[in-house]
Amino acid sequence: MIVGDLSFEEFERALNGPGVGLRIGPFSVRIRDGHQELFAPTFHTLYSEFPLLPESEPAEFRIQLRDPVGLRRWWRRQMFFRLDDSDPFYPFPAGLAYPFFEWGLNWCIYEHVHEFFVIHSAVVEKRGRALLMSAPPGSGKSTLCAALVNRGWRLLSDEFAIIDKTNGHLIPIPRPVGLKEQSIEIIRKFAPESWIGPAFADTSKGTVAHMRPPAGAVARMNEPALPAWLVFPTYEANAVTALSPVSKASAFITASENSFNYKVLGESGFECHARLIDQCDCFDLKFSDLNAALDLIEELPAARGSAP
Amino acid sequence: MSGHSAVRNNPLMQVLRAPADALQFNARQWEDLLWHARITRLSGRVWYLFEQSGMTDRVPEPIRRRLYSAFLEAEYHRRQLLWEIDRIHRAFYGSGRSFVVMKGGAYVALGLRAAIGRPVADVDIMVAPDAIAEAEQMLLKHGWEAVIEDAYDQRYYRRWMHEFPPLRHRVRETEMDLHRGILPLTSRLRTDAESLYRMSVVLDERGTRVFSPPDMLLHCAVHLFHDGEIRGALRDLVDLDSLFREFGERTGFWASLIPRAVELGLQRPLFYALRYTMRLLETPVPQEALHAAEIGRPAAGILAFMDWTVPAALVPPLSSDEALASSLAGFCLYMRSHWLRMPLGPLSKHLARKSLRRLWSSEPGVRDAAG
Amino acid sequence: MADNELLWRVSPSTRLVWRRWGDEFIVFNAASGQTHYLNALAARVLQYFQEQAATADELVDDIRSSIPQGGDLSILDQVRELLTRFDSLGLIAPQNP
Repeated sequence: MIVGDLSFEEFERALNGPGVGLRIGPFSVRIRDGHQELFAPTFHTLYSEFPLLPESEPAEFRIQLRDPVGLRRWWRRQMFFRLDDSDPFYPFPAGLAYPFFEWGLNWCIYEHVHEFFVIHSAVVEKRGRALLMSAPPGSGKSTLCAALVNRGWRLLSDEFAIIDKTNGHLIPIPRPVGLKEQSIEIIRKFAPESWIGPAFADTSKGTVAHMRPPAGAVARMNEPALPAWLVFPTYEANAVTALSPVSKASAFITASENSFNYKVLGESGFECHARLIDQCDCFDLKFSDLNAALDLIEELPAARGSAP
Repeated sequence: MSGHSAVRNNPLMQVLRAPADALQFNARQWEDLLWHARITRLSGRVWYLFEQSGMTDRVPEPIRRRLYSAFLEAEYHRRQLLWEIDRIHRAFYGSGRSFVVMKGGAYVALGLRAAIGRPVADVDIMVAPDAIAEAEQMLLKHGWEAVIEDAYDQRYYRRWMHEFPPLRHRVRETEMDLHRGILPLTSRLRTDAESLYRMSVVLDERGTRVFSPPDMLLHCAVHLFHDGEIRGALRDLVDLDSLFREFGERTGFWASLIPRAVELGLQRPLFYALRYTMRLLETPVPQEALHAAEIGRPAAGILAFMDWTVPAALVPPLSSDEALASSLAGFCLYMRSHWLRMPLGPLSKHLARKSLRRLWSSEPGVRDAAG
Repeated sequence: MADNELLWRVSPSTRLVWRRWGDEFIVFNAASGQTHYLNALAARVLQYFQEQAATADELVDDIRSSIPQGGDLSILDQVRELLTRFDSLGLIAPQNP
């Protein structure tokens, strides 16, 4: 069963009652929500292809979007994001429940997940070879990711490279792609056929909206990919769009700084990261022109010869 | 409040006593186990217990991953702690001074079972009482700096506390407490810090020291029942249980424990440690030791108060009824701990300042999700 | 003891794991959990202290002997700086007297 098999009414009833359990990439998540106008419809649409958890399976992240006690329930209504029964964040305006759910789930992953090696990176794949675009927020990696996905690359994640430490495989977690500010319009124009959810204004990251992951990407969620390219994108207005090789050692350092748990994993993290760097050709990508950047990326597979 | 049924039915308490009981859990109980293990920071410990029972492959995958991740994080803390000890040796190099690693750091340095799967946030060390100022200077010279800049707080620590103002390393950002004893100077119990240091044992060729087994155990008991907040400190009780079990296997441990407690004036915290590890975690204790420990038994009224509050405050609540009982118990114990630490004069002044400060500062540990 | 008489070496409790890509090195210190990027000179200095304990002067002499006649001697200053840096990172430590 997938989320979309539930009618919206059934879905909302479960969300407000016992919660909705679903599998998101390798993780199992149970969500409960206290009657949010914007949350349930947005979530139901963006996650429609994701499988529901069987009754007997426990969730590792039990998330609740909860009303605060007191005045803020009615006046300038606020919400809490809870993991189990603790509140890791400041409350937020109730209308922003959906983006806060996404950020909260990100936090669950980068704070609690060490069974995988996790790097802050978008990951897309074509012909069995995966491209990692690793950068801090604001570098344009999600824009590139959304655009590539609309050009036929398979979405693994716009946020996390989740690496199996035993074999170096990239594990997909094809959640909705988070778009910010101008990139929302850019992607709407670039791919009018894609479904982009409501724009949430006035978050601490400005206006955000989320692109629904293609059904195929979610259906292939259990299919890992092999890393082939590691690109460090930087968006810079008016820059000449160019891809330039970076040395393996400096790619090692940059990507380890973009990792959430490189230090926690110690020597096994070092070995896993060194293998990733060995497997990848590494580049800096400076871009101002999205189409030019995509063309450069599309040429990468040719440069490596045909994939197996 | 039915303290006992709450303790019995709590999935975390069940697992701490008998890990294999978890194999009967349904999805909901597994989720509750994970929740409680997370808030008490015992997830890594639970992983270790499952591993010891050879049942990790029968734990549902999502739960297994989270427990194992917590275990890996504890392993990271262990490595970091050993490195901090190395760096302290570097700072002390050539001075002829040594230091005692305390609490979780000692369990790690000694490789005790209590250290496995246990996260350690800070390093706690103690130096000989006459060396504290010199030790602080050496640390400041090697990259540690004061966390607290406020002059009032600095003075408060130096005047009343058993530790100097906390230090943080500029580059590694690790925190350290530099102790001169195990209880505040204002405390109702007086322990002989000199004697604690003298009886400490050297554990490696660099001269790293740890307390002797009885002292280590007594320190843990003091920390839980006399110094810190009992509420939410289930982890400390698990430490006590593990220390009792591991040291208890050594010959002469039980025979030396009670006389040492009496010598240091710590028979009361020891009595509590034995009582509540046995009640909540079924720690095995020889009959003679129990009998001898009676010397620390408090008056009936006090004991009734502790029997009501301690389990309720230690075991995380599953329902809102339990939550209410737990906050009430926690509050009573909080007031008690301040009463034990300080005579009334400095106490009311300190609490008044503390609550004033709380009005101004925002809650720590909370952040902006989009950050 | 004066600092220039100290004998330095990679501490025996430290285990270093190396990766080399061309002229660049990444070294992982298993004891500290820290990762360091080293250029060829820094790698050479660290390897030197992995093989033996030596004073700062002995290290400088060793490096000097490998600089060709008329070569750039300013790297000797860099060598002394590296020593301080490696000490503060815990990559090397004075040998116990």
